[in-house]
Amino acid sequence: MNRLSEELGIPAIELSTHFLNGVSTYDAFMMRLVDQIVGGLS
Amino acid sequence: MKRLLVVIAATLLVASCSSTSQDSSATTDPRPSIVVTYSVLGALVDELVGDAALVTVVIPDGQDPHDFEPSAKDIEAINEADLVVSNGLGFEEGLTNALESAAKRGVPHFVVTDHVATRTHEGSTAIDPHVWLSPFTMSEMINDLATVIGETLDVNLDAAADSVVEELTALDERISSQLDELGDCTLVTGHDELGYFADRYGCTSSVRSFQVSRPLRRPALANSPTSRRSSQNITSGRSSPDSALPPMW
Repeated sequence: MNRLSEELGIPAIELSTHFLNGVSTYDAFMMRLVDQIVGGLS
Repeated sequence: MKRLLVVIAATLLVASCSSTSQDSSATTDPRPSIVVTYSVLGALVDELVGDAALVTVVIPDGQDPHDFEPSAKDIEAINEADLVVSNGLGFEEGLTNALESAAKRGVPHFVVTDHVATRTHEGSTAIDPHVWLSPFTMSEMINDLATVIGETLDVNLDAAADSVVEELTALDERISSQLDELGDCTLVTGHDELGYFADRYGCTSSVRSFQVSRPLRRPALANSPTSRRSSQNITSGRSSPDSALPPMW
């Protein structure tokens, strides 16, 4: 992913959309995803 | 010009991870057993039932439900459940036979996507299964799920259902607020999973056929549509060890 980011010249993030990936609640799962999207575009 | 590359984590190395699923056949927990197929849905079901039942997740946290194949213990857990809760629409493809077999044995089965308003994939008549990425969509099925659990386990979850719907509504409002502040939101994905999210929160979502491989293949990158994106957008692909895989639904 980092190499692709370098190739395209843009920052990159990786989202977990299909599993909790370490958090224990649905709220935390969704807010992490939203924070990553918003943070990446801000 | 601000752009962001987003790669969807498809599957982690689960071999070294401890599973969040519990083997219901081995537990001595006297509570009724609800088996849920994947972890995100499992967290929501667990919140709804509280201590009224033992919630077991079949597909471990860290593993992509699209790719999961059940073990003999997983199948046993499904067959011995008091209720199975799944997403449906082919999302848990590897569990199809196990779920059908359990249904034939009389195991009650709640399919989330039978109880929410669904959307079709962009440019297709196929229904998008990724309903959990919209809290609003998930809130639509909570009362039905509480009713089914209540009838199956002889418990009253009316108050719990109200509470969960309230929390999902609040979550939906928080997300709306954050994205409203962002302004323009264009999501370009390699795997069409953000449609419910985009539809709900006013984002533009489109799918582009590209894959991120490890190691990366320069020819694919050279032709990647990501190089033609407009400003302020998000590009999403799926991180996969197999670069030959087509974009998945």
